[in-house]
Amino acid sequence: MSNYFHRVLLIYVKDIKDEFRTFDNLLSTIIFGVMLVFIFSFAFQLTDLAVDQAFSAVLWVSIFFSSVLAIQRSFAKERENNVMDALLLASGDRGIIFLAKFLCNLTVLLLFELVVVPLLWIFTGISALGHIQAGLFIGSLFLGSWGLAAIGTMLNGITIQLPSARLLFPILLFPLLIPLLIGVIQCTNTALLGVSEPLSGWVYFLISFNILFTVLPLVLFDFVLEG
Amino acid sequence: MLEGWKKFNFWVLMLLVPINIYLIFLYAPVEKTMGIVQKVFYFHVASAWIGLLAFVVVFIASIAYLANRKVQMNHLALASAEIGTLFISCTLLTGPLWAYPIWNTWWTWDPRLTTTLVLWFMYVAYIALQGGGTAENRRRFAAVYGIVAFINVPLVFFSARWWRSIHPIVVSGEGIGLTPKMRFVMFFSIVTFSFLYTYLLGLRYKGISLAERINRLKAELSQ
Amino acid sequence: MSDQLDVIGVSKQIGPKRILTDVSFSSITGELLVITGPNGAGKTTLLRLIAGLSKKSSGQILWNGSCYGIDHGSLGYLSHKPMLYETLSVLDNMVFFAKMYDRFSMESIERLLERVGLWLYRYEPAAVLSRGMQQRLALARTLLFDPKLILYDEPFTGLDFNGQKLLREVLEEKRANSIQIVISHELSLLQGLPHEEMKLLRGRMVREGVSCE
Repeated sequence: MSNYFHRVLLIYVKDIKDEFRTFDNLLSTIIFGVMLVFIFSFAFQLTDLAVDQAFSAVLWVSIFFSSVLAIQRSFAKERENNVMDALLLASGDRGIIFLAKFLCNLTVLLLFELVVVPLLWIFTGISALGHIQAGLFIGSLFLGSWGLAAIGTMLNGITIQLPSARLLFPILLFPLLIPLLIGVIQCTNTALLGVSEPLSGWVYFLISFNILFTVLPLVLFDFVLEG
Repeated sequence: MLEGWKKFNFWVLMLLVPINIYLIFLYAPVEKTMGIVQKVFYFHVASAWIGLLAFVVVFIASIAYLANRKVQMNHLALASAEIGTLFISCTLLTGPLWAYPIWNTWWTWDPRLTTTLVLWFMYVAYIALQGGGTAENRRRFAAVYGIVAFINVPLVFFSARWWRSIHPIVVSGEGIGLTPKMRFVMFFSIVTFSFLYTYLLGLRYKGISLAERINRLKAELSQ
Repeated sequence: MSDQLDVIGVSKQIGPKRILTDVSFSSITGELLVITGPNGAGKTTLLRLIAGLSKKSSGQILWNGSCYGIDHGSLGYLSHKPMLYETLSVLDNMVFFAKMYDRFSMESIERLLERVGLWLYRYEPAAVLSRGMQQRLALARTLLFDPKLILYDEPFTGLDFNGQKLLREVLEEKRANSIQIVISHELSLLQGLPHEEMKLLRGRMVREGVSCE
């Protein structure tokens, strides 16, 4: 069993190292995210709408759209040159590959948020609001990224094997994310605006949703990478 | 056997459809406050019901395909998804016709509406994933998506309901006071639509199988 | 220790197309089995089924009598596609796969890279290597551990004269401990190596177990 997670870790470390060496994926995702955040904030400003009310919506729409870019690259290295076969043979279990890619995508998303969220914060001037629950806010970012990375990794495993992958990926991804979207927006909104709602329910909902959609792909990934 | 069932199904429909239309327009009383527009309700609810049922069939056929890799199961799932999309589209189109005069809005983000819309998106995604392609991996991927998407349906519904609900709960009879006559007609419509669904499913299933057979024969000839 | 591979009545069907029909053969440690046949005969598919990269439609593949198949650490696979990480250097490719197989030692990697003539190129990304050098690197990866079953899919592709000689040495030297199955068109390259020959035609076995010198 420890061998299992050891191999997950090996693939993860390799991918993260590769990420930092080329900066290809992470950097383009961050730049795209920064653009999105800028356009959104500016558009709100142009219409004189209260952007702090829409902060969560803008935040999550930006993250969702950028994640398409980030996750879509996750199997690219294996796709070139048929490395997937070598990786399958070396790992011996398809679940290992899913977990490693999932962790890698999660890391990339969190790093992306590390840059984009403060920027959005500054652009919208939301810091004027006093009562922000930082723990809840960061927690909801984490939970949202977890779900995104898990579902995204599974679907990317599918679309990478198809010719029309670029178009298909978001079409497959977004409908599955609706419960997640509802949940994370409730959480971030409460964290920012301090609306007193029965919130722990949403946190539990997100955690169960994420666990379900991490275990389910883990089971189904055998069928995805069957070749 | 299948042919026999299809013939039977066809004659049942020939009988049920006129009766259903009679029931809806002449037998069921006109709703007091909503008026004649409420008649669309019988089509709306029945097609929503079938849209969901069709997705259950997609789900079961997808599991069956992954388990035994019978191409027929994939055909069944695809046929059901296509017909499901048709019925869900009907639901989405008839809904606003009814909602506008009653709620004074074409659309609200009520859990049932939201779920129906997401269901429609997932159907479309499922069909796009199959992409008319007959490659084995597309069947497998579609089956995986069919399973995951189906499991997602209740999650969408409950999260949306938790968030807010202003939709009258129809089946329990709350919200709109359904008279016994109306309720009878509603259930009758659901039965008729179910027969319509199975009939269309049979047709489409056969169409997909034949198309595939043609492709196979073409491939064999060109070899 | 002697191992045994049994392939019993294996078929593979993709959609309406039959790729393999009722293929059966057995092999034990020490044997070198060569599969021949025209393009599209199902040779690569057969190898992928044995390797567990693809799923059989029916039949059984037994490893020492067990249907769970071979442990991934005992299986070597050398394809005509090198299957390397192009952005990673030669050394990083070796280190990554060595760690995945739990056989990491810098000395053995150095020895192997020396042997295939790539030690000088160890910091080059795999992408800049020539086709033949990539194939040598893939060969070195197969030698990282001691597989009990080695599958070769057109392994001579891209190799120059020295590379071919090297591969033949490997085939000879691995004979002692493993079952080796080779797909090759170039039977002349296997001259001098005693082997069994098996021919596939349109997914069926047409000739089985002919010993050749």
